[in-house]
Amino acid sequence: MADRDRTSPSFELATYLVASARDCMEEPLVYGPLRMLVGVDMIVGAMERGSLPRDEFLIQAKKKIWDSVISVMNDRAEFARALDSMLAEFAEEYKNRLLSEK
Amino acid sequence: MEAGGAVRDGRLGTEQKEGLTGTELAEALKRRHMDRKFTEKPVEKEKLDRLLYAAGRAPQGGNMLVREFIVVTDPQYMKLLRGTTPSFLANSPAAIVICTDLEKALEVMGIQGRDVLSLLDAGAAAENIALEAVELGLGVSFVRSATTEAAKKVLGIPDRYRIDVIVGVGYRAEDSSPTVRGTKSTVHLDHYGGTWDGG
Repeated sequence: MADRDRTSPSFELATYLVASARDCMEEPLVYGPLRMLVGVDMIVGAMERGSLPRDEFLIQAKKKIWDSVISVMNDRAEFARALDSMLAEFAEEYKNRLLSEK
Repeated sequence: MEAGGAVRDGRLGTEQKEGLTGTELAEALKRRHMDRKFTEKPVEKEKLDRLLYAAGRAPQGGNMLVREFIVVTDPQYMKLLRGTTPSFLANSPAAIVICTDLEKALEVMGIQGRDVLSLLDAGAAAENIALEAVELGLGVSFVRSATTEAAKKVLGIPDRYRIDVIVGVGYRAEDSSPTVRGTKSTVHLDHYGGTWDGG
């Protein structure tokens, strides 16, 4: 295929999310969170490639995201625990960023 | 017949043994699994030919040729396929898309053939690919998605075809974390609930 890539990280993420929305209608419920994490991973991937502004917190979170994604295939209870842990870190970071802006 | 009891398949130049030893088959069955992570190394054309030969050797209902394969190796097309198929998590550098010509299937095999048998046939082809991949030192990942219409669009597949399964193919990464499931099946002897004293 000729190299005429005119896509962008935002477009690719949007396409992935639309496709995921369709997929989730017929997939097991737990695949929904899996798709969302892959979406986050796509955002971080674009940051690592320099296509989006870097966010070190998100970049550091990438490995944990993938550990969670992989674990969903074998241990869903562990997946839930990993999500709880990750969400707590995101919430703490969000709080710190929001309050530090005031 | 060549020395060693092997015959050569003239069409693809692949070697076809007269009979597998129990050890070879058992080893292939034991080592077959789904991979999630692959290296970037492209899959050689010769190996893709071997996989396609194995897929073509899978049974087809009525022995009718309603099953077709699309081999995807171009990185841009792989990106399009993966981008419209969310369940395609594996980063394999190639994929074999197994399709059924629904119009032809209906014509030659009826409704059951189109809606059921052709799916079984696609699964059989995918499993043959997985077993041949073991011999070739490759890994595979089966993908089935509800977004096949999008995949058909990006690959230019005509409406009359149905994508049954996508088989990601590549060289397994060291940290592939293959999915390993139990090997015990529920088996009934003679009637439902009958005790099967299996090994």
